[in-house]
Formats: sequence, C-alpha cells, structure tokens
Amino acid sequence: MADTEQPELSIERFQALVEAYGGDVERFPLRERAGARELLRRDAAAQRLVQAARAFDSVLEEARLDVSPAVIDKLSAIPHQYKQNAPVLRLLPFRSARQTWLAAAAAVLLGLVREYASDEPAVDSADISALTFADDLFDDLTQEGDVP
Amino acid sequence: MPSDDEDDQRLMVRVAEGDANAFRTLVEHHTASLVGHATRMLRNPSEAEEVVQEAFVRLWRSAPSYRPEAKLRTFLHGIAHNLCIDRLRARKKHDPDAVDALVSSDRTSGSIHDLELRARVQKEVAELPERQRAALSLVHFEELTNIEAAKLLEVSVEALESLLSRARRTLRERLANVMEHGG
Repeated sequence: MADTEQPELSIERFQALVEAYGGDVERFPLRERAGARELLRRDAAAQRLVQAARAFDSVLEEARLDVSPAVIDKLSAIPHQYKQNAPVLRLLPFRSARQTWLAAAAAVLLGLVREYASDEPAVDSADISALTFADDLFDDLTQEGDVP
Repeated sequence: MPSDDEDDQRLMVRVAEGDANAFRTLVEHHTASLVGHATRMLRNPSEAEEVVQEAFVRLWRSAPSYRPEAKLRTFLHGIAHNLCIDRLRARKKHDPDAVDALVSSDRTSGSIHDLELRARVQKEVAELPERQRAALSLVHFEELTNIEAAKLLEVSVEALESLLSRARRTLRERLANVMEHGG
C-alpha cells in the first residue's frame, strides 16, 4: 500500500474504515486520511458515523490493560541474569543461506574454470564452508524469536 | 504509548554494547504494550508476563547481532505474538479459568460500576475469536499501523480490516446494553 494520500473517498469506503478502525481518523490507513478528513468536514452522514464509533471506542478503552511497576523491575533485571550472545560477523553480504550457497557454488565454479585455464589452485571449499556456517548462524540467531 | 523509533534504535546500539540502563529504558517503553497484547491473546496475565520476559531475554541475548530491519516495537510484538500463538496451539482446549484470571486481575481502583464495566468489556474482548482478538489488540490498543499488523498476522490489509470489522461488530452487539446505559 502506497503512503501517498488520496484525497477522494466515498461514503461507503468511509463507513468501511470506521467499522474497521473506529472513530479516530488518525487510525485510518495513511493514504486515506486526507480524504476521510475532507469527507468528515462536509458530510453529515460521515459525522454521524464517527460520533457513534467514538462512543463505542470509549467503551472499548475499558479493556485497556495496565502493567505493574514490579513487572518493569523484573524485566529490567534481565541483563544481570543472562549473558549476551557474541556478535556474529556477517561475512557475506547475502540475506539467506540459500543465497550464500548459490554464491559459494558460483565462486567454486569460477575457481574450477580458472584452474583449468591457468593451473592455479582453485578456491578452498573449506573456507567457503566456514563463511557459510557463520552466515547461517547469524540467520539462526536473528530468527530465533520467529521475527516476522 | 508508542516510543520514538529513532530513540529505540539509538538505545539498541547501547544495548548491543551491554548497557543495562538502555535496556531498562526499552523495557519501560514497550512492556505495557507487549503485556497488554499478550494478556489479550493468552487471557492469562501470568503467562503473558512470561511471554514478554522471554521476548526481552531474546532481545537482550541477540542484541549484539541486531539489525534494524523493522521498528523495534514491531520486532518485539512479532516475537511476543508468535510466542503467544505457540502457547495457544499447545493448549488442547479452551480454559475458561484463564478468562476469569484476566478479568479479575487488572485495574482494581474505581467504583463498583467501573470495575464491573471493565471486567465485562475485558471479558467480551477475551472471548473474541483468536484472530479477531489479535487484530483488535494490535491495531486498536497497541496502535500498530494496518500494514505492520497485517504483516505480523500474515494477512492482507483487506483481510485485517475484515477481522477488525467483525471484532467491533461482535463487541457492539455483546455490549449493546452497556452502550445504552451510557458506558
């Protein structure tokens, strides 16, 4: 969804937005806010929709939950209870293990071609394995929490 | 209350260097939102606190390798939400006692009427279907953008809006008598 604002908005779309996001236009998708504000300024039906939604929003606020200072204190003690993992150096500039393997395979292939051409030693595959392992390890660490 | 994203990134640089004070500031910024969402998802405050603890432990331990590819708030909600889903899947059947724990655990100040109203609204939110509950919690209460919430729930923005609409419609019907009496 683009971030550019689109000023025109139908009352039907406005109603759908209110039903989904409630009576606060600031919660609407960014690109539809300007159009929603403009419609709200001039359209009585839009104003009625927002008024009703705001009344419901205020009831919903009752389900907002607080957290006790004790929880904050407990969580703040984590650095004293757990060691940080050592930083993993990303040695190859690739986003995934698959990309890294493809790059390594290409490098080996290139090395074989050069070896045939010049009788020089080819790329040491053990070095590539070490680099790939480090890259996989980085991915494992950063995905440990099922990060979206 | 969402924290400033640039502040978060600066704090993460310090956390990556082992700065416990910076970590505490991040905890202060994000705990209420994470506990709120986890409590709504799990319907059990104790389990919710465990999930948030695990999310912060993971953040602390992996901080030296952290890369700011998303807002930290979204990153943390992603960890906590998935931990919640793991726990919900591990439950073989619905536990009504968990709902009772939620509605009786929070905000003890206020009149009897206020407390009853809070308990009622919290109970109705807790009884929404899981995905509707998650959408409402992330967008309405924790103020993630529609794009962030849709990504986290692995749905399209249109599907997210459908979940939100159904959640609000269900709650409006179930809380109609509360609305009639002026909230």
